[in-house]
Amino acid sequence: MKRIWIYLFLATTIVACSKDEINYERPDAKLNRLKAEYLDLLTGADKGWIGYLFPEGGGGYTFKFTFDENNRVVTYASIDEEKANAGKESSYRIKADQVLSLYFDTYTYLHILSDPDPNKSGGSTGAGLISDFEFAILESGQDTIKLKGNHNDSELLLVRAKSDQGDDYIARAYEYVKEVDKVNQFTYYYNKFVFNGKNYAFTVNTEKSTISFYYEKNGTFNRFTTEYAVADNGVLLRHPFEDGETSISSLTDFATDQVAGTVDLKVNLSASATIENVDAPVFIDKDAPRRMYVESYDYYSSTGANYSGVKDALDIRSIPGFAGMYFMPRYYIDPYDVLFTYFNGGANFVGPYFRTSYDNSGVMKFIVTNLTGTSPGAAHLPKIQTLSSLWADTDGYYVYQTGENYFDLVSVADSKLWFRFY
Amino acid sequence: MKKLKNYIIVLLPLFFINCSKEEVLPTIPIFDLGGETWVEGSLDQFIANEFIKTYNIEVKYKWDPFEVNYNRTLVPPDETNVLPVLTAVRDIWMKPYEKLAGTDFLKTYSLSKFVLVGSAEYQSNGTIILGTAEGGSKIVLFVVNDFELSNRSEVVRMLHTIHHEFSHILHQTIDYPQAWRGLSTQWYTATWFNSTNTQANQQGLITNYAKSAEREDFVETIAYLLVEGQEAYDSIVAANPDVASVFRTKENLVVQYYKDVLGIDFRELQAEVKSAIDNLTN
Repeated sequence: MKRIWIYLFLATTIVACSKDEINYERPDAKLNRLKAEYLDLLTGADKGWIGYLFPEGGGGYTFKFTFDENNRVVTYASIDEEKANAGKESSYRIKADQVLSLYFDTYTYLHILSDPDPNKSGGSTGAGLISDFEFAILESGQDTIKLKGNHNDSELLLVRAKSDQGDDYIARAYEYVKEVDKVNQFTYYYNKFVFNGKNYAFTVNTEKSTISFYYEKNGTFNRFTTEYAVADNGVLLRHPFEDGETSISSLTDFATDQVAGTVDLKVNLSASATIENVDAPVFIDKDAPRRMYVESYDYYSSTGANYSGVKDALDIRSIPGFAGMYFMPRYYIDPYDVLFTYFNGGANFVGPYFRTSYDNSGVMKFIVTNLTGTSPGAAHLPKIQTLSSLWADTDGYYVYQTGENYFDLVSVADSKLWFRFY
Repeated sequence: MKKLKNYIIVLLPLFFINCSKEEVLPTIPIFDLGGETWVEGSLDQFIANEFIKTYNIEVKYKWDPFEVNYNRTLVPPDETNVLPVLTAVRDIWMKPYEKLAGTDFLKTYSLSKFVLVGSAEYQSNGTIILGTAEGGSKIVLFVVNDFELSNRSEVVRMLHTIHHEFSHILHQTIDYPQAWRGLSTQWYTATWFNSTNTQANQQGLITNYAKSAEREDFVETIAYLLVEGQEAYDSIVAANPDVASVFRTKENLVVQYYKDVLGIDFRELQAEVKSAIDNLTN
């Protein structure tokens, strides 16, 4: 009996120490290693990085960041002409959040989009354009880094700048927006995008940086909209447009013939495609009027009526203190809708009030009752009267969606007349 | 008993045998142990010399989301505005106190941290926050990006915020006199922003924010007397003769609080702050 005990105890002494440990990298070692790697990667590009930012709040912006070893970064941005041409220096660092994150930690052009002051961002009070300046590094390769905003989930893609993409890159990209915008200066609203033997209706909303393709598949209308970011030779789509075998992720090398109303361009850098300006709808979005109208949203237009390729053809922007035109469904409880032009810095408004109707054919009509508001003066009142009579056109308007709350209205009677709301 | 002895003899060796495993302690330091680091610039050196070495006050101007309200949209300060703001803080807030109360004063009632934020914090009720003080030790200053030394009203606004927040730290350390209670109690309201400054003045409160709580009333009165100045205060009192006695009582309580509690002549402090503002904004 005693012996059994002894053997048992002996056995325990033998078993105890056979321990196999899994060999893993300590978390701190990994964080230190990754931080060093990321810093090397960021500072290692002599021409810097091109950043394509797609804020959660919409739109697309192109940046150029040149990082140095002293936690400094020089930024150029396609936000406006000045910021495209003059670099601004600020600081950055890599911080160990739950995922190692790149912080742009003092103010630069990037922060303008996030600024809660509406006078700086042009967005909403307290939220700005809903963007980010702290980004978790999700994936990294030698030439691309994929990041996601920690605060609002905006997307940022960093692409290593090539040798010919110096500090003037953003200025060139900013210029290219004007080339792309020529599509909006053709005689008629409608553009037909021809690629791979298929026709698509096509719009570019340069104010909100979106591109839309409209097409029919098995008899049903389809819309594809995505944001784009500008490069110095075209635009990159945030999400590729896919239709069967067709996949489009970039549109480049625009060769525009203003007179003929055509653009020859390259899809995915190599395949040829054309855009043709046409005088009749390619496809009609029959459900768009309903979608536009039921949304409780105040639609803003920076130009008002565009006619025959001329933006703001009625010259409404010359009303002193012009602060935008708004189409506001159910502005009055009755319900009456309004199309108000704000002036005197937004203190006054003038415009028609009306009832809106739409039907299954995809046409939206406005039955105008009268003008209301403050007269902008004898010189400008006739413009509002003309606007009101165009708006009241009994043939109505087709509606094309160019983003979440962005809609174009195109006159049924005259394809040269259109409005862009967002 | 003998049996037990046998067992002990058998068990004893077990105590000496253990897993003799040699583990090396990791040599790699814990990530960012002791705070984050970056390559220091002239701004960091200014902060080190003027704030950290002298007062052990940390100044955070680089973005740290965990120092501020996480569910608000805020942006970091523009570096070009940090130095002017800190200069104003040093000259208009710290130096006057130091001159009158000695170099130890700010070390006694000191802060541990300034956090600078570029924008204001927008509240859902439509108001904006210009500054906050926490736990007697941390002050967050907002709207750094709109600051300009040449713009007197901006300097006054920012310094009003600093003196306001620092006064919180004072009364968070030693409470304001009991006599303050009851002076304006009927006007305190959470919806202070529905009153204009003029309406608040008619009720015996120096600003509409003073209506938000008793302690805010106290620190607003101090900040107003210091930064906007005695003249501005007097003209408000003159314009509201019905509540002049309330204003004067408050003013006297502030003067008394500074004398009894802090040993500072408040009138001299006012003069110091005034001349500092005049010097900086010229």
